[in-house]
Amino acid sequence: MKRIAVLTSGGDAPGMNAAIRSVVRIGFSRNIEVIGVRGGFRGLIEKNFNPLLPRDVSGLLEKGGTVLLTSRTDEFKSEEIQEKAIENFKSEHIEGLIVIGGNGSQSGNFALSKKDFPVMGVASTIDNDLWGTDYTIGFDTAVNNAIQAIDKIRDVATSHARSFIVEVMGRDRGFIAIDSAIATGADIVLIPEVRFDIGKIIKNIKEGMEKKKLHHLIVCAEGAIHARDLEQIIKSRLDIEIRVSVLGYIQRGGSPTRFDRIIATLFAERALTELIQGGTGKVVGIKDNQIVLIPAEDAVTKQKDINSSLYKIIEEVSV
Amino acid sequence: MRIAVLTGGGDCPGLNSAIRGIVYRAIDFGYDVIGFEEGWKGAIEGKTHRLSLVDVEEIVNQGGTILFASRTNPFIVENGPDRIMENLKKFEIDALIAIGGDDTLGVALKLYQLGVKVVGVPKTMDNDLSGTDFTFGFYTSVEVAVDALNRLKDTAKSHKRIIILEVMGREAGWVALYTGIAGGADWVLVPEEKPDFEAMCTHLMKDLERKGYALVVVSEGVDISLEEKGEVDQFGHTLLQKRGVGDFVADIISKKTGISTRSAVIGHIQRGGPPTVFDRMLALRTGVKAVDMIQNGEFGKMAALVGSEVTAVPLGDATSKLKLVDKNWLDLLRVFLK
Repeated sequence: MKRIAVLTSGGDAPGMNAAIRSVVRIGFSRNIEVIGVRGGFRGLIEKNFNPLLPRDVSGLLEKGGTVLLTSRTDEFKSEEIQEKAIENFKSEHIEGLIVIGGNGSQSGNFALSKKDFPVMGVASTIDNDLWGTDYTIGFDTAVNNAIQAIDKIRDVATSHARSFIVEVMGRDRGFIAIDSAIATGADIVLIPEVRFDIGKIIKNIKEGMEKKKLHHLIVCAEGAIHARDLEQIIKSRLDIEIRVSVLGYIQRGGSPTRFDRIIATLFAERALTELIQGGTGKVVGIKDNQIVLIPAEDAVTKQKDINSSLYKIIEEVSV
Repeated sequence: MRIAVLTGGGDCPGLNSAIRGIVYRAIDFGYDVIGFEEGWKGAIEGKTHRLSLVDVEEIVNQGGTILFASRTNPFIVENGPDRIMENLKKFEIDALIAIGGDDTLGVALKLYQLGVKVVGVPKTMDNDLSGTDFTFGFYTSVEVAVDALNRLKDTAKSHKRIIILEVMGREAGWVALYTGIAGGADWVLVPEEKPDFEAMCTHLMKDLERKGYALVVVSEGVDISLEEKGEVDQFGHTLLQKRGVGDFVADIISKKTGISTRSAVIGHIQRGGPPTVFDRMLALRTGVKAVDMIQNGEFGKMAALVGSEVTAVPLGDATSKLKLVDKNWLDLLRVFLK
């Protein structure tokens, strides 16, 4: 294999740049030419290709976002478009592809590899919802961003003896919510996977007030309930000062943490090594501190479970 | 001599540093210091808080306020001022230091006029107090906002998007102005200036063309009531009010340019966290100065930063009118909107 392409797809995640850098630099030292595809899968169709040399990726390790730009993947579902992408690769003598992205993006990996074009994936999404891996690139940074913000909110909560509902990202999954709740000492966490009982929440807060708790901190994933709606419900049932903070896009960006930089570098190295050795249709992740390969089909179709022991611990810690 | 300290209004980074400055300086003069909890509420209800060296020596970097805060106004509470004066007598307090923004200092001024020996320490994250060049809390909150803007830039750039950041500032646009200039934003909307959405959109399209993304910083207090009113119905309008200015501006950009635009609100994150070095130094210095003013008998004044010195400035100077972003500052802003 002499020439490969790399792209980033789906939502941007801190550490994607570190992964791009790793592919380009390690590719260069192994005499493989690396072509950057700009704008995700759309760039494949539009043939937006640029060769990348080691100096082109200088200073990328600490940068958030993705210099290759990204796009959502909907249109890539059509077979015709997929054929067109393979045709574009062939005309440029590109022999393999590395896809850096989450489970949605790895469906492009699955589709192309089924058509016998070699593709390897790198697990990267701030949501951490990719089956088969303990962590994805960007998750650690996103959670740390959320923690930083919630710590600041806690200062306000303590000063004013005021309760807070903090809404974090996670439309379908509660990984960010659970980790940030544990790390900030939240009293209640609401996630899309678990049906919550509003009566129980009210009871919980009431008991806390009786126990002279100064304030309550509720962390909710955006997909569980909107913080504003929850605020209305709680206010209608309890005489309590409660405020809302929606963290939103601030969680996405910023310089990646040490963990995300390292897994990005390692995942990308493994993806490249596998691709050279004939591997295809797999996604690189990490399980029990070992770099692992996940079949792309599993990554796309299987649902990763939340760690229910973490969820339970929040209740016990917030006595 | 015994002095009491209270923190009123919204909390902001640096309050604890100021309390520490007061207690440390009081030790030099042999003063006793106690705190009233929850601002004026504690002064009315007689809720005190011990403030000795050990209570404050480790709080220089702590956000929030160990004295708690509230927005209680004693002049609308029944017998509020009388109850405060009774408590001052009861706890044998000779002088009072009120740390707060224009509301808190307004109350301090009225109490001074009623004969209470009061000294003020100005604080506001919004930096909109007159009579002082800067107040502690402002730089820390701008630091947080600039950091947020930098993070949004990563996403805006990766997705070729326009993103709006809504920051605090109901009447004054200082936070938005500083965040926009220091964070390299492409457009800034402040309450002092009527928004020109047409010019903004034209400008943003140019930025998008040139560098692939654009960032807008908006003060929460920007006037959106008159503009675009025809385009929203009763239902939509109430929704927008609930959703805030950032979303409103994002909607306008989406409509006018056809580019789907998102917004983020920084909100309460901006209030907390450890103060920056500038804010710590300013808070400690104003705390020390407030005690010096008591020692010198300079009551009815606040310890304010004027130029590079902390000096005693009449409380009336702070509370008579807000310090707003003026034309010179808007001209500076325009230098960076290319």
